[in-house]
Amino acid sequence: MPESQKNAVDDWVRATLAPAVVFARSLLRDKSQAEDVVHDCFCRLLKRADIYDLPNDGTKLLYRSITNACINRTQRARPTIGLADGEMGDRPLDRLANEKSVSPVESAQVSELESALEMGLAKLSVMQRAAIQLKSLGHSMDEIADTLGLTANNAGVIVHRARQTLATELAPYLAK
Amino acid sequence: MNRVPADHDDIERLLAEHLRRQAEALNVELLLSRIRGTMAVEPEVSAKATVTPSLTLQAPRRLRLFGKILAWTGGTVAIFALAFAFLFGGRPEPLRAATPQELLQEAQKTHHLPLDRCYLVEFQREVDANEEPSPMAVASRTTRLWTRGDRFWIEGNHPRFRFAWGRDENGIIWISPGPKRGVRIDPEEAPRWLTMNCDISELRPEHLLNELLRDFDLTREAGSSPAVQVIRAELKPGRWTPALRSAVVELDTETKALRRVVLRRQPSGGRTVTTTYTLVETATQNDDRYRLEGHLVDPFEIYSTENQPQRRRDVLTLLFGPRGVDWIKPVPK
Repeated sequence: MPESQKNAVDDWVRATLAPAVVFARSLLRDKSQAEDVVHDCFCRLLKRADIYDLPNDGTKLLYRSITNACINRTQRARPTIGLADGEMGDRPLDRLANEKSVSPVESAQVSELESALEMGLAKLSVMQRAAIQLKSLGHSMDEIADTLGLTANNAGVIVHRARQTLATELAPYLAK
Repeated sequence: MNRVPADHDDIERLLAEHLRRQAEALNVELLLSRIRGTMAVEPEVSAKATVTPSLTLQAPRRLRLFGKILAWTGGTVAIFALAFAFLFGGRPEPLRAATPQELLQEAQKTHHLPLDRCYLVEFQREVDANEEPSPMAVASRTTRLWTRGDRFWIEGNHPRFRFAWGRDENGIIWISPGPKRGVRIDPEEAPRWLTMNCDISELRPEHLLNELLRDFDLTREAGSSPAVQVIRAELKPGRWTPALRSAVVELDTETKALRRVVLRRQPSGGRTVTTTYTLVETATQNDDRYRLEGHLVDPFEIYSTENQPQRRRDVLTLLFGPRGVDWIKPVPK
């Protein structure tokens, strides 16, 4: 692979790694499992770096790969209790510590809103979480349907239901 | 409270913002190194090679449903096949892999099953002849460790007292000095040395095998019998792992499970610690055994950052002397 292409792939990995971990973590509700999935998915794609155009097409392939791997894991895993709360790593306190440009009151509001979002996401099924997050990341309904192996109509229903659940959870923060 | 204007796009915008914030706050350098390490060991496939996109990459739901049906019928066939094999004297397929990498990959598949395993753990620490003996820092001790994935619990066997301690599925470290009270330390309160100690105490076969495959030079050694496959692992030049220097792994030829693991660690600037894990039992443990509550009897009290933090410090001081308070790292409010 030429050096310039290698650099472009490396930049792509750097740019997509953290969002990919966040996405996987949200689906699995477990940090170390999410990192394992992301590691495996990146490695699978990187092994085919001379076949795929990763800087241009890689992100969609990556999210599709992560989504399927996470859904497979959640279907395979035994149910456990309490994973949703403890493993997320960046709790409101951490996030507040990272807020530099907003006032303490605004920070508190952002933190509340994010907690509400987390609560809402935790109430969704893994398919709904994947669908609504892919939608928020700019994937089209056809792409979401393709990733989840559904028809576009079914994907639309899943996104709609996820959106409704989130809207209920975020109701105190949303204008009527 | 400032309200956000509501429509469909707003919820998705809020969610996208939320994901972006989380990504910005995340440090992924270690994961990046891990990916680079794996790619250095397993470089990309040639463009000339026939590429079949992996099932995970492109498996749509319909295929998964079809796969489920196949898996169900396949599973039924497999059950009959196993029953046949069992009834007519069949044995599990023994390890046939030739290279140490293949052997460890076989072991990985075995340890992927969510089983509870009990290991007899022996710690041996290098002791300096001039070192003043300390009752807290014994040169060697033996304990029993139950482990499942990232969670573990240990029946402590300190010469001065007995207690159970462990780490649950949420990363909470707990200590139970008796059946009526317990101490809970949240992940963000645990100082680095304590987290390291937990990592050293538990055996996470999947993580360990990944680490060995990625960062270590592997060689096969002669086993004591054909039932045992022995692999020696030495850290590759230029690689870094949290304190692990070398390992000797013994696999059961029949079950493909780790029978015995000897890890040599050297925490930065510290003395070499050799930890030997010997598998003594595989069984199903109640989830509660990995939690503090599973080691307490009603009525009990748990001291934590929310409940009687001063009592928690007192208990730790009672257990570990004046340095007991070092078990908790102050968390900024």
